[in-house]
Amino acid sequence: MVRFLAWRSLRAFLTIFLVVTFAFLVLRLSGDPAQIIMGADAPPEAVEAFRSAWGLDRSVWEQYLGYVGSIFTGDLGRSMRDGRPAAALVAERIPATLALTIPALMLKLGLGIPAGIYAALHRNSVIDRLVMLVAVAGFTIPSFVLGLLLVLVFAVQLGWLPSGGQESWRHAILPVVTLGIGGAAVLARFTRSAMLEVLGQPYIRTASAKGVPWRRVVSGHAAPNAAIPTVTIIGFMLGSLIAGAVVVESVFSWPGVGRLMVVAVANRDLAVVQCVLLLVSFTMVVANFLVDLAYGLIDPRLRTGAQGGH
Amino acid sequence: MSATTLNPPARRAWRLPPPLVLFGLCWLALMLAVAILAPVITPYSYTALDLRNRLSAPVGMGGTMAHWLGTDELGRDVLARLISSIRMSLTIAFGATIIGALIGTTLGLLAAWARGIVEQIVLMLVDFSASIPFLILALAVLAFFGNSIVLFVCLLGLHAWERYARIARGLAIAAGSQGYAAAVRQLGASPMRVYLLHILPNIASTLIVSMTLAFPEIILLESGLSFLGLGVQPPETSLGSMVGYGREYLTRAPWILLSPAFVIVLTTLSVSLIGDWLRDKLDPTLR
Amino acid sequence: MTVPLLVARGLTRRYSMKRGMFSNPTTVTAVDGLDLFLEQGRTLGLVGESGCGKSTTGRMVLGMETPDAGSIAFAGKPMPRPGSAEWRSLRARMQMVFQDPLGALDRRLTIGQQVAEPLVIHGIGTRADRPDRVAALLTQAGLRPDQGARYPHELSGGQRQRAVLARALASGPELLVCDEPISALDVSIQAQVMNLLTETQARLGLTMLFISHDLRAVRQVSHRVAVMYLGKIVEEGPPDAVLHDPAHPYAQALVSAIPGQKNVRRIRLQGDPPNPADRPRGCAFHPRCPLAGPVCRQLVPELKPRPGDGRMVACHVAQGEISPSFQRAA
Repeated sequence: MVRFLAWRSLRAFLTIFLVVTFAFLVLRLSGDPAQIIMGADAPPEAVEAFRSAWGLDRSVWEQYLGYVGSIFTGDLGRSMRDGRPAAALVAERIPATLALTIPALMLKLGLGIPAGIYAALHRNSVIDRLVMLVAVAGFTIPSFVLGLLLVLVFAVQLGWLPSGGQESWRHAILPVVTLGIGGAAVLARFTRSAMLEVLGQPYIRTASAKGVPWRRVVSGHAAPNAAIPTVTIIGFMLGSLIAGAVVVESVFSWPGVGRLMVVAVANRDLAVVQCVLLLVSFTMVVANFLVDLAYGLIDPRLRTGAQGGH
Repeated sequence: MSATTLNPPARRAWRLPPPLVLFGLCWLALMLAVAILAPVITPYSYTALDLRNRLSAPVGMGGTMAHWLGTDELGRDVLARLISSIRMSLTIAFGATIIGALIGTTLGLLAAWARGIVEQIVLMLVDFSASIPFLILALAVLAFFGNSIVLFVCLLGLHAWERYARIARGLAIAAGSQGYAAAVRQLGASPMRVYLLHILPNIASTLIVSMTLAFPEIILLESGLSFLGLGVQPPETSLGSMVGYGREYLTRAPWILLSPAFVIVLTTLSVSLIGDWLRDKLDPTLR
Repeated sequence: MTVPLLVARGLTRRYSMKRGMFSNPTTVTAVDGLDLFLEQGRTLGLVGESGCGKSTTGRMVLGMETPDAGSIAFAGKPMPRPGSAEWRSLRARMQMVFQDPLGALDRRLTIGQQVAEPLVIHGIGTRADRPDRVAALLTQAGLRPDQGARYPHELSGGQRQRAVLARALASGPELLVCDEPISALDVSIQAQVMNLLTETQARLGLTMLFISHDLRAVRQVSHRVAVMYLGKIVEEGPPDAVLHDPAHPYAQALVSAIPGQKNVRRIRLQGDPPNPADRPRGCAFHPRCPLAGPVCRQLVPELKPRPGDGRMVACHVAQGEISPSFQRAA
């Protein structure tokens, strides 16, 4: 198990390293940030000053090493727009995003998994078809369309809920629902197909043929095995707690990380973009790591496989 | 003993697809026709202004017959803009899907053929792109490189490339270690012949199913980015940018937003339905 | 004695097997210093249980795999590197018949197209006369020319194996390696395919390496038989002699296991089936051998002619170097 963890950590570290390098390369390839930020008609001495202020006048290797070094010491640069530390800018937006994504995750799990299991157990019934149709629809309706439709109905037409902003918990209802429904649809589809796959296995038929009550078969044999593939997708959702709300935050003018990212991209505020990119990669990597751990806990084969490796 | 009596022919009689799939096929055909014929069937130019008919409602909501689906605040015909947007969005999605499939399949086959360090690098890239949400990567690239339509298509093409790479590599290795590919190699065939004439046709159905599954995702990505104002830039228009733009007039003129939204949903829904159906039909091993 | 078409010396092939992510890889020696020669126009039968390295030997003989040690010479020239242009053109002269004919055929192409493929690859004949050549090859392999328009899944197992043979013969090879060509076929078809192979070999004067776990099949086609155990040849000789009077205790056990024999006492092998990852010291067979003595646990026996009749056998006891101990049998 220790080796297993070590291996996963190494891979996680490698991914982060790749993201950092990717960010650096893309940053350098994209042309002269000084010119971009200052504008083509900026006076040359101002551009020069900007360059030396951001270290853009050193060699590429020096820049790269300095860059990696500063990132691992937690210095993520300053916003090229207002000069505040990018990390602080991003950090202060995180609670707002989590205020949307955590309730949305609950909604996804609470709605998606039971719906998927129910649909699988009542395969080809009317309810199964209905669940799947809704799931396909939920999966294919883009979140900005869903969000705007909800606004149109509940804010504009009915006037029950506010259409945007972050003043009270009522403002969070529409964005949370928008986020939750799409994810629940994906999860339902996934859970259903995982369940169906497991239910078709010989050991399930054996268990029910042995006279194990169906309820026990499902809860004791089928569900745990179906959980294995489902964990992957939940891990992905966990990893996108920060990044998953980019579009929805924009629709509802919610001042979270996603909104910050979009504004930063539009303004080409590269330090902030980079910071969000690293933050997202980091959460994703941590989530993948947790998924691997969860696999080890759920699936004894993997656990013993890792231990048996002497 | 003739072969026909021994083995029933594998091709089953062609049956009509289920109604929902049929509907999807019809809708997709309509969209394709609109995209191809856009310059012919458009009632106006998508940039033409009609200042006397600004924010005119669609027919049935009090609008005039001159603008069936109404106009926006500059008096531009929503139908004309919709037609142009469909053309733009479908072109981008097709281009990106094909780019993704090409890149992914090439890298996957390359990894299977070269093995060793090349394979490890491809696998590392696959892991990398599978572990970072694509939207964020795309946003970062757009921030760094700015926007142009070519870059945008190429960027979207990178979406899901790793899926093709995985599939192509896995299937090619399976075919190469035992079975027909090894047999053909053993006949003295060049790697080109083995990969292009034997392996590629054999894995094509799986790749095509993956393409139909990736296509709606790319439409969603494109429209999402365009909605955020980071994709297709004015004066060009796409389904997503129409929605993003119409959002300003959500209360006064919801029709600007509703028709492209409707088209996005129906199109992605259709392709998904067709993709699922194809997957069940062609390749039950793929999930 | 005829000229050898192919001579292999000291062939060794090791695989490293990883058991876990971080454990040290175990080295498995699939083929261990094996000498082998194939005489022009004759068939060598290679017998042994699964995992003894006979298929690996077949692939190395064909040059599909490079031995870790040892050398192979085909028609006097060393085997070129797999995948090189020289190697590819050599394919026209050496071909293979596979165990699983359905797997060896591309299910998206017709039988005719696949039989024509070696002709295309090696530029044999003109485009115009290819259909006639294909028809002739199919007929030769016992298929009807019109079956060339069929797809692999539309044929029966035996017919597919005939198609594989037709394809293998298309480029007019001198050497044919058959790796368990009948074991995936229905018993009722096996005899037909065996007859086809024997007949084709004789008619075309092919040099053949016939790999099988079935001693009777090997006897039917071979001019010479080699028995393999854990990557080594332990006995070699004319088929009738080896079958009627096996010299090596392992060969004796194999022969006694052929069903339907009268007056033969079955020898049951003791111990575990061989594990190439964990080779015993000395004679690899000693843990299961009823005759093994202390020398067998220390010294690897050499394959050499037996005093008396000159049978090639690798066994201290059969060579008369030690007397049988019968310790296990007693």
